[in-house]
Amino acid sequence: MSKILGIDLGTTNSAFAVMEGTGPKILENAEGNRTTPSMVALTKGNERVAGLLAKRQSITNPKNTIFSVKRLIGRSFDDEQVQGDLKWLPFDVQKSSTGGVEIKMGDKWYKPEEISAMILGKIKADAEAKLGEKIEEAVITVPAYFDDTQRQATKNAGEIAGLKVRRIINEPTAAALAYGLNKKKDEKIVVYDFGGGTFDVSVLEVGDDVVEVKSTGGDTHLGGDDFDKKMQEYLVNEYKKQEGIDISTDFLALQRLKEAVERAKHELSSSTETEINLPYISSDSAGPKHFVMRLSRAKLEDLVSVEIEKSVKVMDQVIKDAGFTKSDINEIVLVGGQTRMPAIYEAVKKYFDGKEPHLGINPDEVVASGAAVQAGIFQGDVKDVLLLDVTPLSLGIETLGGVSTKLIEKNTTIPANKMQTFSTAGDNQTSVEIHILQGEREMASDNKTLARFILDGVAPAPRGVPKIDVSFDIDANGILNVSAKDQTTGKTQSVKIEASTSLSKEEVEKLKADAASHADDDKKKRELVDVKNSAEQLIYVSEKSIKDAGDKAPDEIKKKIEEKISNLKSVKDNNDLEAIKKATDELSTTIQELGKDLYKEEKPPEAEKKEDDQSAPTEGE
Amino acid sequence: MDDIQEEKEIDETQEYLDGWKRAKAELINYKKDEDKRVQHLVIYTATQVIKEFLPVLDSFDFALNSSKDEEEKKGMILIKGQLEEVFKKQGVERIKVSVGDEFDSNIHEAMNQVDIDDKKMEGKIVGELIAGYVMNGQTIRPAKVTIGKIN
Repeated sequence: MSKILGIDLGTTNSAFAVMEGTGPKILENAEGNRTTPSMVALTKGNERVAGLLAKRQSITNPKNTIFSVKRLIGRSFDDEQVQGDLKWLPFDVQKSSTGGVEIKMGDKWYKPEEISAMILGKIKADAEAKLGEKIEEAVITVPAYFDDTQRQATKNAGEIAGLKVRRIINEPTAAALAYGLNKKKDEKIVVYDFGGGTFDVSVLEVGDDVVEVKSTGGDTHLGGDDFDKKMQEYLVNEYKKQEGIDISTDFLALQRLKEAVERAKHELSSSTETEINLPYISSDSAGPKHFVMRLSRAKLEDLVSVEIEKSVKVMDQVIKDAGFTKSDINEIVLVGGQTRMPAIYEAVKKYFDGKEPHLGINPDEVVASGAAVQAGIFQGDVKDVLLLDVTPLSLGIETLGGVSTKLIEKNTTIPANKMQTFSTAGDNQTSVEIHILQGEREMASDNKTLARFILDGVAPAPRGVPKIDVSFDIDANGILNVSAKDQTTGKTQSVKIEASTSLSKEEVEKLKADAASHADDDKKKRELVDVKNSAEQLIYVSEKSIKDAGDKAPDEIKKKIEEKISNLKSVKDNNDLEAIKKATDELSTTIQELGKDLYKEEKPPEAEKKEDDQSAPTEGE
Repeated sequence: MDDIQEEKEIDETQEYLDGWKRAKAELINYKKDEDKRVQHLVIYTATQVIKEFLPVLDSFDFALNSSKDEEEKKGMILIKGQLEEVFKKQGVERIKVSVGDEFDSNIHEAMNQVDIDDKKMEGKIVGELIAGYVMNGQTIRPAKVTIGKIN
């Protein structure tokens, strides 16, 4: 079955996506971009182009370059909005015989849906080229305030482009779908959509898998482009003040500044200050002039604070229109590239008394992604007879110091297996206990014991030398097989645990919540154990070094080391992390002296080489 | 009864086998896609880096246009040449623009129009404002040009 395309048909830009595997994926157009300008043109060479190519020639061909057609689709010519927009749209528009709108391109008159169809046609062709398969069906998004005629016209545009439109869905609904909010019960969602040229707010209510739009509002002429304009005006004025040069009449200078402003705006979303550096922007009698100015995030925020406040005010009204108060709202979704601006995020968060808006999906792509999610629902994807389960909690074993070492992380799709090699903690240890644990906590004692068994017959050897392979294998039914094998002797021991995943949903949630609330404490405990373990290891190595060095080690160094060892021993069983660290460091420095000393005296150092690799020069002696 | 049972089991087995094959095929396809994705990512990353450098090349152009000191110019041309050499190795080339060229939106972006008298130049390129570049055949930035217009 061929894929269904999800399309965000925007006023200035469009995006499209398909469901791939378990998630939506934005497709790139033929020019390699993830968004496509919603523009169509008949070029001077009488060629019809859409997207970026139409945009590039728009200046030379304003009469035959059609954009913002979404402002006209499905509306009557006498509509107040249409009349307002006609004042600034550069192409010719007339009233059709049915009272609708007709747009002139070349010497033909087109309906808005025919123009939209040309954009959709390009999108279809680009998607087919990208996927290497035919696309016949689509889900297209429209603003929540679109009426039946506008929706029908958009649907017709799809059909003209050769796409069977499976459904027209609301943009805010698509945004909620992208975040999976349709699965929630009785939730109230606010979608705040600050695009390049338009601002929309919608309040949604989800119940029984149905998303209902409760109210909408916005400003059809407020957007991120206004921010660019404000920045540009400010910089032109500042430059005039500083250098006495007016670059607002210099076309090339202005063009360079415009691009620099766009870059600076993006940069100020992640850093607090940026530099606009445009060498040789202009010249006067004294020679060339450069444009170098620093712009802070605070300044940008100051420049556009009125617009941001305005958007919050609109949002407040829309929530009231829905009959809710802001405390009723459960989820907030941000859409549109401009919402990357920290000041917008903060303003929205502040309005909701600190409630965090959803983040994660690229705000430029969230609507198209949601349309693809809806398409995926129609597609049903591959019939999931083989429902693959996941392990709800991590599985692992207890290791030195009572630490829980995870072998299989939670949310791993099963069947799965994992092997890790462990060793012994003591010299000549001939058996090891495998203590199998389930849970997210750092310490073994805080997790659930699934089973224990002993692997004996390990060949006697110094600690850390034996190699014991522990493998976990969970089959599709959740049955866990744990085995341990001594690499040297080949001795194996194993256990089968039947119900490793059979926890009730509540139990799993409780355990996860538990782990989350103890995360900090656990981390500290874990760190303490790790430090204690390395302290013990160092004591062991140090004692061994002294013994091995025998008479070769000078007494004073030996004495110093012994002193440090006993010092470390005295603190290591207390729980003072810093004291243990300090004593460990001291011992470690001292033991290095022994190494240095030995190498100075010893000709070809052999036995000690293993212990001290820090100061073992390969040349010199 | 037994026949029905058996048929059901055969069906189920078929379904599982089908699912297994699909899963396996999907994994193989995923790996192939992943390879392509990685390759694409490498190109994409390189393109992004190159794009960040383009304004530096532009600045050389502006500097060369406004400098009158021949010695200084020579030095700048050499430094610019070094930079261009690096770009060339990455498959980046400057789009050649000459006065009188036909406008092509695949590689040109019209920034403004100027009045002209020569009818032959109507709709043609009369000047380059900012250079454009292609990288391995793909336009990474169109040349920004001025178009002639009969008043």
